[in-house]
Amino acid sequence: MKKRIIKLLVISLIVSFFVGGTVLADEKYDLTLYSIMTTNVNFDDWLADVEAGTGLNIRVIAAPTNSDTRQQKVTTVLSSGDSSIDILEINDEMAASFKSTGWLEPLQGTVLTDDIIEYFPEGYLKDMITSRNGDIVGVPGYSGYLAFWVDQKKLDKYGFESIDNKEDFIAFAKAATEDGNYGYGGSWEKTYVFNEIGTFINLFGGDYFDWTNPANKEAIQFMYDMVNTWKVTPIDQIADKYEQMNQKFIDGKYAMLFMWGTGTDYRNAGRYGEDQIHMALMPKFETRSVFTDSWSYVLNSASRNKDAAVKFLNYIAGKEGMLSAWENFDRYPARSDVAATLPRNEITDMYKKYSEETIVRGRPMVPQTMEFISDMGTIFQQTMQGKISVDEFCEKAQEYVDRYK
Amino acid sequence: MIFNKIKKILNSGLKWILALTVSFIILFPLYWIFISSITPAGELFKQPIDYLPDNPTISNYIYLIYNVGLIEKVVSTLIIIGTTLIIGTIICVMASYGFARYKSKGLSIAFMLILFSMLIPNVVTARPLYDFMRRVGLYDTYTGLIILYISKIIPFTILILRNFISEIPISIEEAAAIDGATFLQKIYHIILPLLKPAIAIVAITNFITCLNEFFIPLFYANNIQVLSTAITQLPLKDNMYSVPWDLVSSMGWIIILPIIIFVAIFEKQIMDGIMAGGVKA
Amino acid sequence: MHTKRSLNRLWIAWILVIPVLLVRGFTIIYPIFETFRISFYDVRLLRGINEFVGIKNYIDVFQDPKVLTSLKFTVIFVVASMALHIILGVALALILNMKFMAKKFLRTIVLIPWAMPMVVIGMAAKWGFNNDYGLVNNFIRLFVPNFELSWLIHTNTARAAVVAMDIWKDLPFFAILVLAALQFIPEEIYEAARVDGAGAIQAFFKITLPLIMKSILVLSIPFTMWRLASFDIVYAMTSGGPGDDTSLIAYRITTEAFTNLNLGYGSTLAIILFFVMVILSLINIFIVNKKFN
Repeated sequence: MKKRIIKLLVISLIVSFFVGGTVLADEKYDLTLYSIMTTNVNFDDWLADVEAGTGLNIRVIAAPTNSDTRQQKVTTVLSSGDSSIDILEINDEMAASFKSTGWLEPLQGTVLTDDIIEYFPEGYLKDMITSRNGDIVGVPGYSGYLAFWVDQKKLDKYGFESIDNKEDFIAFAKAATEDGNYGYGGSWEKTYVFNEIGTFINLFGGDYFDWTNPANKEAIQFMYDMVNTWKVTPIDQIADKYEQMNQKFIDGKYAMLFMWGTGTDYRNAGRYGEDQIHMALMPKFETRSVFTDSWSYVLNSASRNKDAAVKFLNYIAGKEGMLSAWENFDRYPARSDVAATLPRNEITDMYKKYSEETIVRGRPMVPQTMEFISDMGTIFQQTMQGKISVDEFCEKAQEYVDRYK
Repeated sequence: MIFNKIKKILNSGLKWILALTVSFIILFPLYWIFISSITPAGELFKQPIDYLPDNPTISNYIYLIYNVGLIEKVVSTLIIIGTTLIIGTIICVMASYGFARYKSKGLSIAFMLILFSMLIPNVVTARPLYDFMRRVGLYDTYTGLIILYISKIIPFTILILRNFISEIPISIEEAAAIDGATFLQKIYHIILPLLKPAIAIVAITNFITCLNEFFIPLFYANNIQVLSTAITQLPLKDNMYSVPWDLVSSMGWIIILPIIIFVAIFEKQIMDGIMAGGVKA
Repeated sequence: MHTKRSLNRLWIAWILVIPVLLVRGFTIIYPIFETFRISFYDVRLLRGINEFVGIKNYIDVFQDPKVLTSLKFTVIFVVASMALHIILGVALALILNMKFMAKKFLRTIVLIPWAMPMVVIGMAAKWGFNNDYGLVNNFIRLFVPNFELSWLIHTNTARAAVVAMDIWKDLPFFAILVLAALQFIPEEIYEAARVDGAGAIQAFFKITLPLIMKSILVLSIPFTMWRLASFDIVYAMTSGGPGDDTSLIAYRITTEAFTNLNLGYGSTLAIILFFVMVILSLINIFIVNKKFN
């Protein structure tokens, strides 16, 4: 028996050796795309749309979806002048790091022409994907908000109509904290928490890059009080990424939180709806502001297929491309004129409301973004655990801003 | 007499308790990963954990096969490992024979250097090696990956095979030489048959080593993707950040299952291999 | 054993070993020298900086709180993990050495963790130690109802969890190697001890332990080195958190080299790690030789 198995294994190894020797002949393709969406159920439909719309034959390489790994891969590819990949999808963190390095091809004039550029969110373009010399280096693939989500069941239970200002927020958080459930939930893992810090600083009207601003301290103090004084949010969440946080929200452990996306997780769990978990308008503390994010398509400046790449990007930036991303990936179009043509539902309505009634900002990023983010995350966690004071936090935060900016 | 019997029973009882404890510590987490992978996503986070899922489903596995390109990954993994083991074993047998049967200062230094190079961690050479692979055009190619894999298994393989060859009495070879056998005939008819068990041992151990290799395919390939790195490529949730546990656990099982089967079949060879390496270390 | 050959045949030996030396050299020689060279430069790709700074990096390393935290945890990790390896490893080896029916089954079981990829273990452990949904707390709650602990958010428990997973994966491997040494002890010695009236425990401390001590010390060399260089466990399990409290030095190096693109600084750390490993190995070899020869 065993002998037979060994024989079989040896034979299969020898076969694969010869297969390997004549490695599958290279296909002809016009363009290589490094994509994070390959594992999406609708990816093939989207790709078919793109190929039909552009007439290009596209080779796709699956990018790691694990964020550390992806960051390392993309950074390595771009920094080493690797020309085997033409188009990449990068998030804000990477865009901020790379926009002024010269690794990305400027796209104004070829793709983001004057007639369409006005439809893209201006603040986002300026903050995130415009280099020091004024080059625009990416095409936003969609518009997302770090929106405010509430559990309607809990609002009803504790008798709240809506959460519209700081007083409502605190009162609801306190009311909904009982039986091991909490009023507010966050994803405070070291590299995630910076979104939360930034959101509260915006709400208090502070400036992430200026820690002498009293509003900043107020925001951190507020977060500290939520954990330690009012005890309306658990310290344990400093281990949570969105995955764990969303699960707890679905399980009814939290009453409200800030979250990206359009609620797919809640829908899949049968918890989405006007009477359940839904998006609500940002509350107004000092200001009513919200972070926007996107993943942008960028062109590797080492690429040897720039003509094809521009063709591809034109499609992505055009109406068809935007709509295809919306239909296949639920990604809200980055262009306001395209967004206006979408059929109305509660999500599109809410997104429209956000764009009209809140101050929309790109996230505060610096060239050495990852270091900045994780250093800030580290001292934030120490502050929440009472290892260092809020004042010390502000001092150190200013040091990091000066070091990395 | 009766006293001895009781002692015997106690003794075997204790043995069973110890054995069961060890097995439990090892198998229970694996079982938990398994049930997580067949539990429908909506029921995954019940408390306490439901150790016998009510509605088992294999939808996660189906999803992975269709959407994560599992088949391609298995094929490229086999191509790499197959080639690595064949070429690696051939050159290691040659070198081990050289190191075992010939003595000179230069050879001892070379042998020591190979063993010593085990000390150099991946991370020390990672980035320059990446640039180097790119410059010589071997980055993200099968050839390049196979060279890296072979390099990885060399020290261990040579250590084991050299010890084995040293234990084959030289008189057998001398007798064959007197009978007029050429050098190659000697190797083929005498050394190789005697080395078979040793080769089986290193091949099996190296197979597992290569299957588990994470660093090399992660850093030195893009388009070519193997099984071990697949766990970093699971679909994102719509918030663009999180990776779902139901898929992580199923991917985990896809990686673990062949290993378990493999270990169950070749337990003896693996044990011998580990011991041979250890005793002589 | 007499294997002396006439020197004119030595070229055959070199032809035989050249391929291996070439492959190994190809992947190691250039990168090592390059890493060494870059360690004297300040290379920060994200800022387009590339200048010679001499030994500045080497001085900075020892004032960098992140590196010091990493070093501290690396030392804790290596010492704690190795101590447990030796104590539990001997215990597990004794269990594996028992004569009873399920011996083969047990040996197969303990090989599984050794054969599994660390990344899979790390990813599963991240969930396993989750307070609400993880297996660990779920198990503890069977005995201690309402037990609450988020392992990966407190420095000490996160570190304990990382060490525990490392033990789970590699202890069986260590134990099998100790088992190999155990099997070399002739049965007659135990017989003789029994005749002299020594109990099992006495026999263990008087006979078994001294006889396997050398093997354990020799084994400790590669096992210590692997611990020093390991990074994939924290890569998958904690990403170095909470804060930087579980970032092993090798994880720190990959972060600097591949994420932050501070190549010079990362290389400096790598070179320091390499030298520490060399020195430790030499000390260890020296101790073994002195003690046993």
